[in-house]
Amino acid sequence: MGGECICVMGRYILRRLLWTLVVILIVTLVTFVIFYVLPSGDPAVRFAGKEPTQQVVAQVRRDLGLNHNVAVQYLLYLKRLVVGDKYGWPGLGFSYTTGGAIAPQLWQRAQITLQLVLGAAVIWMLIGIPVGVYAALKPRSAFDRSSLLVGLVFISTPVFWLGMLLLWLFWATLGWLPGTGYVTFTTDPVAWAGHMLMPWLTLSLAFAAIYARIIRGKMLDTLGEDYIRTARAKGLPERRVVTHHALRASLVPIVTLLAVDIATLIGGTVVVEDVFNLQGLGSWVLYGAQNQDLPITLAVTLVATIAVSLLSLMADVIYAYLDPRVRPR
Amino acid sequence: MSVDVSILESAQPPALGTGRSPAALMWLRFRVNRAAYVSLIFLVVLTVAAIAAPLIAHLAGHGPNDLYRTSMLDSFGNPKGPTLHFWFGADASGRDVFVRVIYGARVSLIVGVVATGIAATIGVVFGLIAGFRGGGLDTLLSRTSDVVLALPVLLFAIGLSSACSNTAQGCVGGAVTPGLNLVIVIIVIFAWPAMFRIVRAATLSLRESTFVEAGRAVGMTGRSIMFREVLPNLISPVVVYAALMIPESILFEAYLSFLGLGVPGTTPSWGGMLEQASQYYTTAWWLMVFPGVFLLATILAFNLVADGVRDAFDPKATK
Repeated sequence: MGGECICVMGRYILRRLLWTLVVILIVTLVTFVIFYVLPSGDPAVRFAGKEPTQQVVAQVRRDLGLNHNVAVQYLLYLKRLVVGDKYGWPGLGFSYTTGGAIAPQLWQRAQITLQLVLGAAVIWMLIGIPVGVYAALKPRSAFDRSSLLVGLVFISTPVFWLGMLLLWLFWATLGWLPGTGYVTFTTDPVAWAGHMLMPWLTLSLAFAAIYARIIRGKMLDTLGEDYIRTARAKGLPERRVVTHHALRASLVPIVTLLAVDIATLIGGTVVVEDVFNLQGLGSWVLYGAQNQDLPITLAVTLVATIAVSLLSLMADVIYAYLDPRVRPR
Repeated sequence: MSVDVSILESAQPPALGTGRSPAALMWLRFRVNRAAYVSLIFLVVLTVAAIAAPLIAHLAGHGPNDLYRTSMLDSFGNPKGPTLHFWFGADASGRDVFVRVIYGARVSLIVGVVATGIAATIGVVFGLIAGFRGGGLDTLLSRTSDVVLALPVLLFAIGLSSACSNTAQGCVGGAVTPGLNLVIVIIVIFAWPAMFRIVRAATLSLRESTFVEAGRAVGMTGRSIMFREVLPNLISPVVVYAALMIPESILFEAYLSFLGLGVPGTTPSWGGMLEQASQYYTTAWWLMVFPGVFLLATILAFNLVADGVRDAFDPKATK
């Protein structure tokens, strides 16, 4: 890589970084508007949870600076996020229904959600890539057609319904797998995997279908390229042509997609965590919403969105590194 | 030398679709796709049933919220399964699941069509303006769509619906109240940017074409070029994408209702019914199976119809 190239790359990363900062700033503004400004009624009462006492409301008003005008309130909100508050960093406040600080519990629950999402990603890649490749090698074959149809069924299946069906079949009826709940990996790796298997499957089937379709399309494009013909012409075995040349080229765009999907899923596990009773971020945000505990809902929304923007920044940089064509000017 | 007009006319290729309008041709191509055709028939029947839901409830003899605690709950208070009079069994309150499933179709279809209609209209209008006029407005709209697309949809939907359902007055000074219209507003907020991007990109490339130049030359205003010249050329991507948006909207409503944040429980919705079923699925399979099958079948049917529409618009596209 020449000096000029590194400079272009650096400028691209810098611009992308600035845009990410702008997005994060906008996200703080949007969350502030959604939770502080939009709803009718006194925000202090809303943040104090169900049936608050006068003292709690007064304390919330003091904590959040709700006596000031809206612009100052927003700046105070930003300041708490950046420097933290008396409940820890980042300054996400205190849950008045559970009586605990938000920040420490947030990190603890994020671990469970991450395990769920990453495990699911591994499974959908393990299903999606072989199915997509095989379908592309035999386009319009019976396998290709049925994989498309089955994929469409998976894409159309509501995640919560799939989860309930799996639980009914493998837990309640057959008794092959443990039911809802969570066991940490360190206590019992086998029980951990057993408990995570159904949530992973539930989350990954629709994605497996989508990825199989995308990989099939990319493979079909790549298999028509000149260098594939060259590879075949020089007598490489077909297996090597497919794995070393066609598949490798087809996987480059998948990297970005994967990072973005993983990021989006961090905020999309709500339904699965609800069905399988996993105490991650998703079930927490739901708890917050159902019990009118706004600090929880706000914290998870904000942190997950920031994680999404950071991960998609990372994905874009990796992609630009892998594929020089996308580097703008 | 005189030209015999009849020879010229007969020399035209005797095409399959001679004398047929483009719409009729598309219908012919659509019908070839058997899965899409069957799906369309299913959706038509479902729509008729949803419209006629009160009539069906009358014929069944049970309203959607009528309680049959004595006849349809056993002595422990558990619901009873399908019988001759209760085809799909009863739910935990002793309500007729069949009638509620039919009523539930109303919510899904209304959300699918209305939310998609509004979101698609916003996306098309903004996309046309941004692509055609360019400049600061384009930058503003494009960046806004970037930000919306970067947000985790479900989280923000939960945040919005919990913030707005907190009090009966709702949001924006009472303009958005909890229930069906909040669900539609949330879907519209998150669904328009994708349509916007498609329309904007297509408009950008059409802007340089000769018919737009011709329109300018004869003195058409920018607005009439946009809506009379550019828009008709975008029909195909817009219709195809809108068809794909419908099942997504229906699924999204089901998620929100399942999480207890969508349509209130007194209005039967498939997501809401499945939420109740989640407490009984080991003992009362009918609570889970019937609403779930209808939900899956409806979403699948819309997806298959969307596939068929795409093929009908673009016969060259290889699957």
